[in-house]
Amino acid sequence: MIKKLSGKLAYFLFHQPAVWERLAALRISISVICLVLLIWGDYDSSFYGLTSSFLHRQDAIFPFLPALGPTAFLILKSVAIVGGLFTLAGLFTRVSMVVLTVSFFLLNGYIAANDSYWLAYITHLHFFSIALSCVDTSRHYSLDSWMRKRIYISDKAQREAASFAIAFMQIFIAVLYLQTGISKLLNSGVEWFTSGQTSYYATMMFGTRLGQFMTQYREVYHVIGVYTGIVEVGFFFAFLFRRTHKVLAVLGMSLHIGIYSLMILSFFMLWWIYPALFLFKNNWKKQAEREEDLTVTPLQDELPAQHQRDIEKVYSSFSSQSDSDEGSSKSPLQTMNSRKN
Amino acid sequence: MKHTTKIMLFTGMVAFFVIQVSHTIRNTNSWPFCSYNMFNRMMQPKIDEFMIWLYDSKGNKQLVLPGNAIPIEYYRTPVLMSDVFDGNNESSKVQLCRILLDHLNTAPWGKFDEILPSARPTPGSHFTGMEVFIYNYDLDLYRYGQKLEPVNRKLIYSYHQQS
Repeated sequence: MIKKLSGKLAYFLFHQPAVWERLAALRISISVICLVLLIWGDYDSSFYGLTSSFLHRQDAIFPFLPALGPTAFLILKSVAIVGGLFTLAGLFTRVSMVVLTVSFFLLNGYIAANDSYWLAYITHLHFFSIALSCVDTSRHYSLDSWMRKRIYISDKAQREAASFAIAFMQIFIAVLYLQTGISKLLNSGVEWFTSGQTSYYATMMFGTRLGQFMTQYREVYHVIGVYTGIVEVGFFFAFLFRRTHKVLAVLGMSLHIGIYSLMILSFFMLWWIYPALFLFKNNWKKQAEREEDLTVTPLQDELPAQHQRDIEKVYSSFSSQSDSDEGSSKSPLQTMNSRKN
Repeated sequence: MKHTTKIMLFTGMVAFFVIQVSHTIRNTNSWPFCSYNMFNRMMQPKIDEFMIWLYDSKGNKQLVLPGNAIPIEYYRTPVLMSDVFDGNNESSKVQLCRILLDHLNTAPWGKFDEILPSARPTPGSHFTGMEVFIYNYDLDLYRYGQKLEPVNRKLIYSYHQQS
């Protein structure tokens, strides 16, 4: 049982489908979100530059970064924007991804030193961009790939690292929802979800016109509270089953779009990633058909029919299989046939 | 990828998420680790809100949310207001008021996501002063389509530019 579960986990972590296309899509999603934030968001060079002398706490996060004036702040922000534009276009991608990651990290860390609440809910962008900096995101949808017309040789280790980056981001999102759910349960109890009280009162103060209109119907906010609970607490547990991932992405997006229609909270920096992370080319069945590594365990119905007959034999063969199998270029069918013979 | 490398990656990932979730359990943030504790408290109907009266050169005044006077996301404004106006540093209060009025007059901003649009002075005038208040509201008195009046209010700070 444990062997089977660890096999499934290894398969999820290191054998994600269509990794290079999905990494490219993630690179585009992350860079678009960063650019939207940097250009229209909370990075007013004049305000942060002029208030730095009395708002900035240098020792809070980056002691090496002194209080920045308007010009210095603008320069740091501009570097991040340029890095974001190059990353989006996929030009000098390996370098520009790192430039975007570092400059965006410094910029947000600098502002976070003003108050502890600064953009806490966008820190996933830092972890995701760090993950993308560690892998090659330029193989598709990039000017780099268009100009070089390079043919990539399949490298198992690179593909597994790329898969791990995607799996990490997916798990991050699932844990994030679990964290929001746990936080509400620990601090307010189940009543937070059943009463819908927080969203009801918050909408009165900071709601959209539609949201304030809807405050006439208290029961709507009960439904919103319960739905929030289902998504936040249920997301992680449903995420354990790969078949649910696409549905979860749609549920998560619907939650955020619903909240945005009632309150001034879009959380676009989160759910704009979901199409690339969960929906785009996330086809495990196709992946199983071209899978090359027998030390991992696809789901039963993700295997081609002829493989399913032999799946139990494959499980039993794992126990005797050593690390020396790594790098095997045999396909599952070839390996099975050779074992049969 | 070697088996040991995979084990190390997996262990590192588990450690990372343990750190993240520990922030949630401790209900604290230490950037960039995040507890995702926003809106985790049951909001009560009786609330205190910073509110700002802005005065312009034509003698008009308007009541705005701090988010309409500070170019940052509205949910962060109470932290900033509290840091400056609950403290004893008179210089910080004067500087912030001066910077905000200047920003409102010279570089007004539009609405974007959680950033509220800047307040605008009466046409042909400019802002000359601001008064910071704490307003006490009872949200159970809220009726759609009607202005919610505060139950009480308290002046925290007043700043008017010398003409």
